[in-house]
Amino acid sequence: MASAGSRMLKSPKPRRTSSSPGAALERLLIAGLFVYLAIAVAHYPAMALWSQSWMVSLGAVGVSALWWAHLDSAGMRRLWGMAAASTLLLLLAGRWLRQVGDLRAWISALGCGLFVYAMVWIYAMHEREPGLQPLATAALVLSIGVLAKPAVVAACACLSLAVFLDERRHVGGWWRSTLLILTPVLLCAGLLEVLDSLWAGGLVRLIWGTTQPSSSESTNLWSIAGLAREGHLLLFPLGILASQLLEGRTRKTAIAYLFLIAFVAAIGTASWMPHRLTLEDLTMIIVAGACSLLALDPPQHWLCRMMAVGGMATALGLHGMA
Amino acid sequence: MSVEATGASRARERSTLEPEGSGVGETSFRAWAGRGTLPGADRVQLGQLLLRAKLITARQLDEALARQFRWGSRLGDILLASGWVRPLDFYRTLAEHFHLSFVNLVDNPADATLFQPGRYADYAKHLYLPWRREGGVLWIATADPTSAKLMADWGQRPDVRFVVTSKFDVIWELQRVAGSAFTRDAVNHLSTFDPERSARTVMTSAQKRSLLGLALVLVAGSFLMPVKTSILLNALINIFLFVSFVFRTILCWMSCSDHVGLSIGPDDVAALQDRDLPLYSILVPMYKEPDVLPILAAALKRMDYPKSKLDIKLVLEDGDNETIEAAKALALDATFEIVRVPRSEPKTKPKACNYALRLCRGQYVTIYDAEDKPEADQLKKVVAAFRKLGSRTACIQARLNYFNAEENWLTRMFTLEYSLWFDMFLPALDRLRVPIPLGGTSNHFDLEKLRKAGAWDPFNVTEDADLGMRFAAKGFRVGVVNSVTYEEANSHLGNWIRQRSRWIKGYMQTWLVNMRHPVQFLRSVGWPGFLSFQLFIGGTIISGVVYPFLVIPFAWWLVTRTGAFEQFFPAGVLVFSMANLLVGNSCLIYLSMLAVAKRKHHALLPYALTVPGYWFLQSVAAYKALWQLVKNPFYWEKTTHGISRFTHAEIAKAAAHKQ
Repeated sequence: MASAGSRMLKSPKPRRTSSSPGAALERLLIAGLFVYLAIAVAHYPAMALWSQSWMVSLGAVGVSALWWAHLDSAGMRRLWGMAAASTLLLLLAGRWLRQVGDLRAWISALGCGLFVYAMVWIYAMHEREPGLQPLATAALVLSIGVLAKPAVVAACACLSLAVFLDERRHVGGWWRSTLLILTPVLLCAGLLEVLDSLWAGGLVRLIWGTTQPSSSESTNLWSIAGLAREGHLLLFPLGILASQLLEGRTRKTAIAYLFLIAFVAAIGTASWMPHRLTLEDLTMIIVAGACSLLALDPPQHWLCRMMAVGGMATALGLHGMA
Repeated sequence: MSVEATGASRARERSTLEPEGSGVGETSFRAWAGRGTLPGADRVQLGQLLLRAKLITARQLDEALARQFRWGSRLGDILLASGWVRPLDFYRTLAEHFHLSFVNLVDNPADATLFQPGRYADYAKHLYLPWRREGGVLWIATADPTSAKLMADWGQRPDVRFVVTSKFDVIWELQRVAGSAFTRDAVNHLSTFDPERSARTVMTSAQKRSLLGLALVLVAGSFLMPVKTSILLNALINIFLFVSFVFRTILCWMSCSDHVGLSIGPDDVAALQDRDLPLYSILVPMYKEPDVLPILAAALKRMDYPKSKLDIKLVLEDGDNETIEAAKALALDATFEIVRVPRSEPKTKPKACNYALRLCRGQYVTIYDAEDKPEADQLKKVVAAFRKLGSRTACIQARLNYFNAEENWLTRMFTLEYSLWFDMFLPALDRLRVPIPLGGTSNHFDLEKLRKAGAWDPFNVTEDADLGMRFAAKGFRVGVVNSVTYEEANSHLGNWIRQRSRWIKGYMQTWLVNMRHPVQFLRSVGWPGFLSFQLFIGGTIISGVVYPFLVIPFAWWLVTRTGAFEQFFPAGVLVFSMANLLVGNSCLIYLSMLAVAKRKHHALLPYALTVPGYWFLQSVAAYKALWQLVKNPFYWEKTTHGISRFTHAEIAKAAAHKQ
């Protein structure tokens, strides 16, 4: 499967002639999607707050553009990629709206998302071609990940140990592979601690913001109400996973992603966890991981593309209503 | 005129490493001797002469003929390289075969006035020299009567006659007559023909003025605006170091991939035909290292390369009698020669190599240290690499590592460092097509390109790193091949400091040489090459020099929480420099881990955590280097080899192998 996946990622962009059976329908669907996005832009309440922060605008546009470039380089048809990136842009604006102007919290959530995006990409890199490079990349990204919240880093570190378990044979046993994976993150965590003590706790506040969900709020994430409030966002990853299943190209990385989400949610909301995750952090992590999955393995069939991007757009629609 | 083989008995007493004999190409015997026999018959005939004289056995002749078929070498070369016939006996038989006389040049020296300096290279390469002139006839002594070059230049002249001598006699006589010219050339060639690239002048006037100006600005700033000057200096150093760390991390990350670096696999080696392999020269410069010589001798004997195509030169200093005697005592076969380098200043390895280079005959030439253990297929891998990389390639660097890594903390650190350098940094630099500072040994050169580039700078104590930069500046490529040479890591602190201070001093010389004309250097190597040079060579120097200034105040502050530094390091600057220091050290720790993981020295992984301590030693060496650059720039701090207990084991192993 790994080699097939590798071929997929490196294959030239799929070409389809206008005589293909679904071509006309696909064009119709994508046109409809853009009309829908245009209406959303016009009516989306996030737009009102959008102009309040140039940093948010810059961040959201930059992240969406980079994702579009990633999708494009991975072979996603350009229009579909644009539709997906536009949807992401609106989703990011939506998160800004939810966080009622807490810039630090928004950046912190975005940072968590970017970190998860990178980690999912690294797991896929390992799946495609195991070796020292994915392991080193994971370790180095984990070390930068200390800037994300502890729960996310801890979850990714634990998952990395599991994902790179097969590397233990090449690096002389599990103890040494653990050392290779965790040394940078532990050193950087120590460094952060030292610097934070120099600044009397100011550094951590600067990075993670001051918003700290109460224990009951965290528990609510797992409640029916919590799921009802944000559960629609799961349509996005579900659409991607379903499209990959339909095309018979499910990756181990997708399973790692699901584990990661569950793990992050479990420990990130635990009462003993310092700097617990907020709902915004969690949704950003879910969305970012799904974005990474889509960019890693863009659907080849138009129906599957529709399923993946449609899932995302539906999530956006429900998000707007919520 | 008498051309009797006088002095033969004396010659027999000499070692095979010094004046005696070489092989011949039988294919052109007809043309030479006018026998009109078939080449095949000729081949058998020389062999039969040797057989008849009971100098070889029938079995040896059969084996030599079989090897001749596989290797494409001449029968004589094979017999000599295999050690089945004494060189003196062989050359006497060869002379008999051609109906020529044999002459021993040690007892019947050549007339030095007949030597033409413009032909020295020909004499060395084609193994002949003008011997005597008598009665209007010029006698040429040759160890290779079938040489096409010899025939073309001298064969048609009616006033020329030939005698046979041994290869060793030719080299010996050539050194006797041309030794001083070779020495002059070895010392002065680069500084005469390309003075801007020679470290003979440590700093140009412009560089001295720039340095003085910078010092004045710093002093003035320290008096007028001490805080701002301190902040600026601190910020500049930290930014430079940060970029240097990032660059090294990127290099390392790149090299974690199996696809970075030139990879020559068993299939590439197997695809090489022995008969197509070129003559390969190997230089082994040594000074007062008689004990470790058996290690290299054994390793070279194990080389998977046709022995008849090896031209091994033990480059010894005149007067280093103990090593010369040790080399003779080993009774090595005829592929080994002793080159005695006359005494002269500077007494450096590059000067000795330059001298020996005048006598090299191979298409490629490499350098090994006396205690080196190259992997058996290294030469073949290099030949394959040269063919793969194309005609602009001037050098292929093999990777270096240590066989005594587990000896003590210092050797472990050294191994971590070498693994990082040769397995991670250099392959990535190769991938980026930027200048590569060559390692001290196991660099394999295309002989012609090496000569074109001006060979080694005898005044630079890291002539290898300098040569890598010069190749890049002249548009040649350097590759890094996946073959390892194992060396002895320094296990004694004093010895380590001596070696390391020489390396850092050499880096300083290399930096100064290349920064004489920065714009010109930039144009020749491009921005990536220029920046990587600053970060790699400059970064090594700067980090060694400033490391104590970064660590000591931080440690002092951490322990005492003193406010003494506050005026020089405002909070922001302090946090930034501390972050840089800690991130940099963390980076080095982790990169070292990756390097040993790639090299599969798994036991060394935890030791990477102690790398910051090793950096303190680097700083000690850096300051010593700085001092020496001023006081004694060309002094070659000798590294003593053979002190490791692992080396003693290697020597014992080599002795057992010989038996």
